[in-house]
Amino acid sequence: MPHPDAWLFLPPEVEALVPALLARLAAAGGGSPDEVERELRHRIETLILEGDAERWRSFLREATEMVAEYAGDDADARRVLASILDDQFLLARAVVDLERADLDARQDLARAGATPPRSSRA
Amino acid sequence: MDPRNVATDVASPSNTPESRASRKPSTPTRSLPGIAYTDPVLYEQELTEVFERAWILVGHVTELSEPGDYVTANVGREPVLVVRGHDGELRAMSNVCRHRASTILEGTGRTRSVMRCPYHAWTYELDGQLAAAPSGQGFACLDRDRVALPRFRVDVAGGLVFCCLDPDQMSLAEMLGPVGPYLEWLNIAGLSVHRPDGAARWTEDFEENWKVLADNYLEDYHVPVAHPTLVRLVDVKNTIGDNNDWCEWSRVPYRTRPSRDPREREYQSLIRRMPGMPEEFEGWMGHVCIWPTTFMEIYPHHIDTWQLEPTGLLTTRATTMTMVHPEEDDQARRARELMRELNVDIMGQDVDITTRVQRGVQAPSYHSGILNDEQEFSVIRFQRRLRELLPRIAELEATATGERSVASP
Repeated sequence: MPHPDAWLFLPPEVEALVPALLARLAAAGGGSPDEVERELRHRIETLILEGDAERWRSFLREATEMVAEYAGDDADARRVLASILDDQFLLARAVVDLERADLDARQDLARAGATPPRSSRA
Repeated sequence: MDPRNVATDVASPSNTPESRASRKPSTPTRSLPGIAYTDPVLYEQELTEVFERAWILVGHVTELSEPGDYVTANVGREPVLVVRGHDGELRAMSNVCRHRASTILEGTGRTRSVMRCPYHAWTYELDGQLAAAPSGQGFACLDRDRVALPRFRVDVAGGLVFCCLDPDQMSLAEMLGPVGPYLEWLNIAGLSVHRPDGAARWTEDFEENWKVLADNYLEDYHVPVAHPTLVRLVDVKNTIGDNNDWCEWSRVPYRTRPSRDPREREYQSLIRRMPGMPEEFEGWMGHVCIWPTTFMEIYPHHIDTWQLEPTGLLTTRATTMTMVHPEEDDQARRARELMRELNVDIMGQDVDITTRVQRGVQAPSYHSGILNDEQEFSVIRFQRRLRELLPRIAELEATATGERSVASP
């Protein structure tokens, strides 16, 4: 079994990029980008400090839902987010087995423009 | 394979006491020149032309039964891994991450559905394709479809798994020759790898050139001189066996009269065939030599592989894998443990010899020796192969001959 902390290789790119990108999507829905970004940064940091692989996966599924439901015009933000999140699912297999919900999430991400390698396409 | 053919192959050894006695060539066979054991140019050739072109033992099939099961090994300078895929296929590939060259897996075990490099977590599918890399947005141009661990050849013989880097090398079956049927005959596939304290291999490092150790294993000329235990336990003069140019098997009968040594006597009282081992092996101990440096000790109660890997010009690592019957009983376990104790003594005697030889081959006064055609024929064959594969040896021999003719006109 992987070490319980083995999942911590996952968050850095998400922590660095995802809050701002999701905030851009939230802005299209009339939300406050700054508030969304601040809240996400806090949440990811909390996961890093107190979380585990399972809670990280729950967060990924939630973030995927936001990407999937996005209906605005910021196609770049949506595509980059989809690719980052899809990578997260691919990488997470080193520490957890993907479940049906994860595979469904990957399909949503592919529809949102994620470009996984051929060998890993959902 | 038709078991009747196996029995026929094994029952017709080409190496018998009679055939050895008739092996008297007219010209003396000389050993490799001493300088061949210390020459850095030759060492580089050995890595590329011997180890990186040979079929190298990497594990036992029972270690690779489920998807994600893997073994690792070094083939020359290349760290390799063999893994069972989700599709049930065995695949051999480089164990070196394509990013910053860390090895990916270590030892043996079962990975999850992917293989993750421990350095930056580049993550590979079980077929070697790169699945993803962390911080993927930070790479200017990373085409994951074009990144994969290079694949190598893998094959199985008698339950043993081998890997070969050379796409043009002969097949494993061809290289093994009569050893292939012999391994089948012994039912090695029905054994399992012994894991004391969870480790499937144990290693020992030696401070000699790998050929000093290989030469020593390949001949029994030194046995009566160096290994009194073996003299008391087995009747070397009645060894039988068979070989091709690359590999050989042999077996030697145990003596039936009790040794004077209490530990050896206890061992003799415990010798019994494992279930599944052929009846004809009752009362025999066997050896197998697989080109270039895989050696096997076939006991009735368990089997050891002993594999030499050059780790430097004057350093060699020996890796041992022990295979036992999956339902090994107390008697077989005790026989195995006793043989292990006896082997510690025997190995100590060999270390003493090979240390001396390593010093001796470096002596300016030593050039090469004459080999015994009857009892060192495996060394002769082994060194003949080396001469064929390694042009540097001829250069060294010419130099040594020139020096000798100057020194003693």
